[in-house]
Amino acid sequence: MKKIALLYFLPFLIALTVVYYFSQNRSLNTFLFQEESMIKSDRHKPFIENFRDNSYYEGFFLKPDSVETIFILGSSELTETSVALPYNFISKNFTTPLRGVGHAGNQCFSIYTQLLANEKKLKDARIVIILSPGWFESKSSRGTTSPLFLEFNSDNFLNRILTAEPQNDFHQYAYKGVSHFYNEFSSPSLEIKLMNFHHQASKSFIHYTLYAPLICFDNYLLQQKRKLIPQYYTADEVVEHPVIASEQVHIDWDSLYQTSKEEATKKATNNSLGIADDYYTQYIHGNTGRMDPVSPAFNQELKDFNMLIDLLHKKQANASFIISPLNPLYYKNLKHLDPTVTMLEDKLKQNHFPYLNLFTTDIGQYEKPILHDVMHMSDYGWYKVNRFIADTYKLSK
Amino acid sequence: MKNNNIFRFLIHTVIYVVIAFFIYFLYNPLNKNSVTRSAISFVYQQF
Repeated sequence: MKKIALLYFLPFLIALTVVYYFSQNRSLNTFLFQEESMIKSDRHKPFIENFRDNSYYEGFFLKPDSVETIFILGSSELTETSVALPYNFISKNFTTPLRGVGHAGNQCFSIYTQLLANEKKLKDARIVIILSPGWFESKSSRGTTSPLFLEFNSDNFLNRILTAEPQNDFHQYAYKGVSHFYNEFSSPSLEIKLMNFHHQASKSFIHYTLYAPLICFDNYLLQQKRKLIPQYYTADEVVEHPVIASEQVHIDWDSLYQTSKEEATKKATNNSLGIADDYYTQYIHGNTGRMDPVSPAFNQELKDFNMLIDLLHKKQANASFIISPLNPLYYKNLKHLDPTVTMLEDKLKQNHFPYLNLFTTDIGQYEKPILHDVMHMSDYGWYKVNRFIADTYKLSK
Repeated sequence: MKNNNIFRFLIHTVIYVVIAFFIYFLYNPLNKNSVTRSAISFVYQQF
């Protein structure tokens, strides 16, 4: 018996003790698990596609430098390459920097949780959100997808939502959203699990009783996780947003409009839809598109949008919106989206958020050079957006 | 005989510590490169 204790139990106990020591040793854990991207810190990058590959950027999000920074959030249109894109044009022509975050699929719920994780920074924060009417129709109207949600909402951001005080309807909405696609995660993190449990527990007293021990246990584990690598978890903090100092910058918008319009027209010669030749040849071939509107009762994206606006309003963010255009010559039943766009406008008006609506279903009013394909803006479209941003935030005198 | 036992004890201790360390490393939720990540979730799922 003594021999068994010496040869098996004692080494086992020693191994447990050593691993316990490892788990409590911060420098060892930092050495073992620190991500490369966390070491780098390029806060001046004008555009990032997501936070997953740029986690160092999380700490800078909505945090102004010495001068105020404007953040533009949106989806696929931000990944275009053009000097006219706001994060290129505004940053080049004004001292106020503008940073872009997003790529295809970064829809309302994803943006909502990113902002909720930074809610203390929202007061007076200058945020421009590009709304694509395409988000509110067909499949996209089901809301943000789970893989995309993970790209923009790290455990760090989710932890902030979980630990925010006091918890209110905004947090509950985030939990509900996560639990909506919870089954799609093959190995959910502790934070995602907790969000799901919180939502389940809120359903009834019986649910609460059943889930309370699990929540307590996971909270304890999360506490341990935070202790292991505290530098992974950056805290949300109240920040002062300096007033934008207007500059003596004169931009000849009319000339920019004229030149960019001519350029766009020159590129669209093999069709009457105003679509650039190469795109038309590759994807359109004389075909037309259709929109598949979804009623508001089943439109998850619309619900997410309303909640996003409520959050920005409640937190007094200095937000503005762009409703991007779609090509009415290509989408034959675009009129069916009119009621949805009207709802977006009404909500923005009710909450006094400035917005630029470039969406039109009227073929007579539609300016062909505004898009270079069926839904992405050309330089002409972007200059309109730039002017709106410059006027809204009074960048020039 | 006694020396032999001490030697075996030392060998066992080293092996156990190495195995424990690898399990800790592989199943650690902080290990983003590992497909076995989320050790805490793994432990939790055992309940």
